[in-house]
Amino acid sequence: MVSSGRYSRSTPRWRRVRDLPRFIVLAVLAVIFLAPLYWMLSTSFKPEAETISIPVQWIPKNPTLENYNEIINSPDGKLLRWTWNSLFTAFAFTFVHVTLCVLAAYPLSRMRFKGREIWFWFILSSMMVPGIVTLIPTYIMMLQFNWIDTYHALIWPGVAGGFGVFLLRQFFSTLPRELEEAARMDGANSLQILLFVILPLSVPVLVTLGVFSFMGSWNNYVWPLYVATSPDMQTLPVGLTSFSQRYVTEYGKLMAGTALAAIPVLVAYLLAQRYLEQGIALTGMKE
Amino acid sequence: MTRASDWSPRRGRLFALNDSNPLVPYLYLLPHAAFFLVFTVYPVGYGLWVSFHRWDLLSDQQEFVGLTFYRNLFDPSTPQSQFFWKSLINTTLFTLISTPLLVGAALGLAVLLYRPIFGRAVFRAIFFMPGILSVSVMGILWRWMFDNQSGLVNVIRQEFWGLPVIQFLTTEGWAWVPIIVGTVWWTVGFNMTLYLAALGGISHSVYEAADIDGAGPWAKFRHITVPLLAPTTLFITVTTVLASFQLFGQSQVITNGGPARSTQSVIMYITEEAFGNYQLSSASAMAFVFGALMLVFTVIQFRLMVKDLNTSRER
Amino acid sequence: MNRKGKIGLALLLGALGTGGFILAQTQSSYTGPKVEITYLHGFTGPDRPVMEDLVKRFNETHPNIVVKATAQPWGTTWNQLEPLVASGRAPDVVVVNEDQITRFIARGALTPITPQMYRSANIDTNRFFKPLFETASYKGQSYGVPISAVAYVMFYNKALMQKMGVSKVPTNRAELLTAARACTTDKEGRKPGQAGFDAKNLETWGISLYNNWVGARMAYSAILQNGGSLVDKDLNANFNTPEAVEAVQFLVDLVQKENVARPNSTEEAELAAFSQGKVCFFPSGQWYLDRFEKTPNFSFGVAFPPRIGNKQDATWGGSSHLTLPVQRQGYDPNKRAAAMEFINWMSAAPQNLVWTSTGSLPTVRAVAQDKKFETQPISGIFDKLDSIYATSGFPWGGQVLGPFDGAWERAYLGKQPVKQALDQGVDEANKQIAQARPNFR
Repeated sequence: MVSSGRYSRSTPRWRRVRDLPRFIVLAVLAVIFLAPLYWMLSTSFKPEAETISIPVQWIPKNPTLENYNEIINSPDGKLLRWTWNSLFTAFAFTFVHVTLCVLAAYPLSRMRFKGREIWFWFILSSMMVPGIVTLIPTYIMMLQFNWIDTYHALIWPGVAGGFGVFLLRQFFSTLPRELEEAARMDGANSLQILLFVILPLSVPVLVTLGVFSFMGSWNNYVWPLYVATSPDMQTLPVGLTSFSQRYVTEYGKLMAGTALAAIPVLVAYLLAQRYLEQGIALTGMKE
Repeated sequence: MTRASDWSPRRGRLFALNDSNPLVPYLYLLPHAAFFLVFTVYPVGYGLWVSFHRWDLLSDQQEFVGLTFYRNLFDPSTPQSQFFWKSLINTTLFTLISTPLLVGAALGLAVLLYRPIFGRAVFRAIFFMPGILSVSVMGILWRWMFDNQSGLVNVIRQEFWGLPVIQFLTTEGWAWVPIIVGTVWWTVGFNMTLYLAALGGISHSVYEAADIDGAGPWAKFRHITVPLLAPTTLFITVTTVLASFQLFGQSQVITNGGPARSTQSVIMYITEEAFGNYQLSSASAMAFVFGALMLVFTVIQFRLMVKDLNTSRER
Repeated sequence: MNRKGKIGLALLLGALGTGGFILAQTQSSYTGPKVEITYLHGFTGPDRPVMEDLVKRFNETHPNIVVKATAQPWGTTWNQLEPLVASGRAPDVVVVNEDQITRFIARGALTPITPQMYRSANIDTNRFFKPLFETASYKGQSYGVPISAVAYVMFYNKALMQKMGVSKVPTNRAELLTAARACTTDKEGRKPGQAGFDAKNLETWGISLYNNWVGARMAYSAILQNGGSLVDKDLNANFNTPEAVEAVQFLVDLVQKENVARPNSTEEAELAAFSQGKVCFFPSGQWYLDRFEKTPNFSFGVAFPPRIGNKQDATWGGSSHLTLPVQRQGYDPNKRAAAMEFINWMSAAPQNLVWTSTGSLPTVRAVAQDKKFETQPISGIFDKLDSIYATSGFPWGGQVLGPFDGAWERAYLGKQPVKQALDQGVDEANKQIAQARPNFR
């Protein structure tokens, strides 16, 4: 294998031909991966009678928007409201979570004080507690706070995770000290150093943590299933499953609802793809 | 790992309104710590407290029952022990089958994609994309792909291969197929990305040396790629095992734990006990037993992560 | 609901308003100051507009009461009700179904309704079918009134029966067997019992049996018909008595011995097959009525399930009851009085007639005698409304029905012999009941 990492126009043709089998394998796998999504879209445009027809109809014979119309206008479904709930809680959660993690990781990585190592170890060890252990007591607490079916229950309980602090502390520790010292010579206080020296250098890791928090909140299923139960407060994943119970045999509508929930996320992914992959690489111990 | 340039408290007074105040670091820590104590530390203790009582939401007095609910789990005659261990076996089975698939397929995809090829970015996006979907979307999709009568899988089996319909969703054993296939489709891209990042860290000179020795692609894969990726493989395996044990949404949406509880996961059973039967204490006790089992794995994972981080920083 | 249905409903409501119904509208029993009450129910899907319309009319006819209604899936309400009561945020009125009601009563989440309260709200409890009303009673106290009922019925496909030469809807075991055999053919057109009959590949078959909880209600009905029951007098599970085993064995034999029902099937699959004219008899909830009526060129009928047992007519039924959740100290008595008036109005004959017109079963005697149903398929079971038995009266509904449904599933799928499946179910249920007992009053 040659170490030139890139193809260019000057790549000899024989090399491209040699890659053909690999390309074919990849293409077949890609088709298999896309099949369910294609099938979802295809079905969502079929009239109900054609959804379960044999032979398979890969392309709808009589495409219709009826399913979407029905789903969007169904009084039982509140896809828009659920999407808003999901968006709002995910943004609020991400903002609070990243802010708290930054504030905690800063002194843990750049200041000396009594109890620093102990506290950091304590936060780290909390990452070892599986979520299910705190699910029930936190649920009872939500009842005591009267937070069931409110945004509070969806946002606050998860904001102080250990992973974010850990990730940011590791990153902050790698930043060169000279910049900070220069700023301190100029008379900057610790908050100014954080805001104007450290954070601008940490944008990639902050975006990564942000994207992760957002995805975590957006796709959270177990917790909202029990604390946000009324139709107006459900988040998209939960609302969609309860809603889909009604259409369990009406595949066209079921798939239209599923598509409506899936498409925006897929589009958002294509926009934020770089950060996500970067972030995964980061968590996978490489910087 | 403190350095001279770290901020350190000077001889400031407790009432100073600037950085000389020794309380400054604690002030930064305070917001996170407050939430951390209320929603992470306190619930663990509170959960233990709940598990020693017969917790009743509708009464002001909570009856103390000591270790009753823990004993129930180790007394074969109670339904709790029967279902809890059954669901644990189910979850373990799922983990044992899905982990090798998720690791192997991810490595395969990463190796296929690592070297430049026409459309590489598109392929990467396609393999990763399903992971973005929420568990309910993925579940509804695969429940329907494997529908007993009209699912695409059965339709294709009948139409193109002339095979009889398999009642995937209602047959014990077969019911795992949609769950596992769906899970692999859903999460393999994540592991693939980790592998691609790790492959990027392997120096080309190693391969070039092997080329000079006349090693074929398979030999190179076996004797260079696999050993060099060992730490990554370990990391991915542990995280996948941990994630697999948290199985909930896939089973809930695709099979609802059926047929006959054969695909019910531990988390599903605990939530059923807590929110279906309102046996909050019994469910808490189960959560702690399960949590203790998980802790063993997590300690291993934690060790790996710290070790890896240290080595990657030394690089 | 489609537009046609909406127009029909509007016409019906109009007819009621103009004296199309004999019963006079009673005066409101609430005369206090203006109050707002919250009302939580699970009537979604096609039932939703009906309920919303009724609530709207209530608000129009009661200037001093404002009802704020919320609809959500039933299961959500079951998960919420206790937490809502515990945190003092329970709605003023909530609809609870027969499978949950005893549990919530015995957990102390619902308020008993005393004869005095019924009197002051002008509710004569004799207006309801007695078994339906009793469904919401526990230890001699009443906790709610029924507003709608469902039952397990047998739909039959007239076209397929005719094609197969079945002229009579079966009413007992022997007739059911004969008819089901006549309806069954394999892909090659052979009948059960003929040489080469391929039971694995049925083209048409006699009766739909399936694995989920709805499928298990067929087994429950058969057990009752045979004189069996789910629980004994101490409320422990006992659905493994000889009568019960015999009844369930007959159903399982329909699959395994007679080959007139498909093995391993699901409700969705059988529903699709029935709609496509592949199966003669489809026992299920009468809630599919609406769907079948909307299916074009579909000639079907509704009958009371045939008497498989040898004791009595019986079928499973469910009902929805208006109840008053327990409230915190200092609850506004005006709200309670307004809630009682709402219960009175909602369960009165004119409103029950509206429900019945949308495919529910009557809960009020006067409604069942109304002339307008004579020509409708659903009236096929009106003469047996007193033979409908809910699964209520024991607080551990889930602990009994869960194992029962599981036992049916195992027996139906052929995983276990019937006796063994039912024994295991009873054993599971009683272990769970023993665990659950301390939680109930």
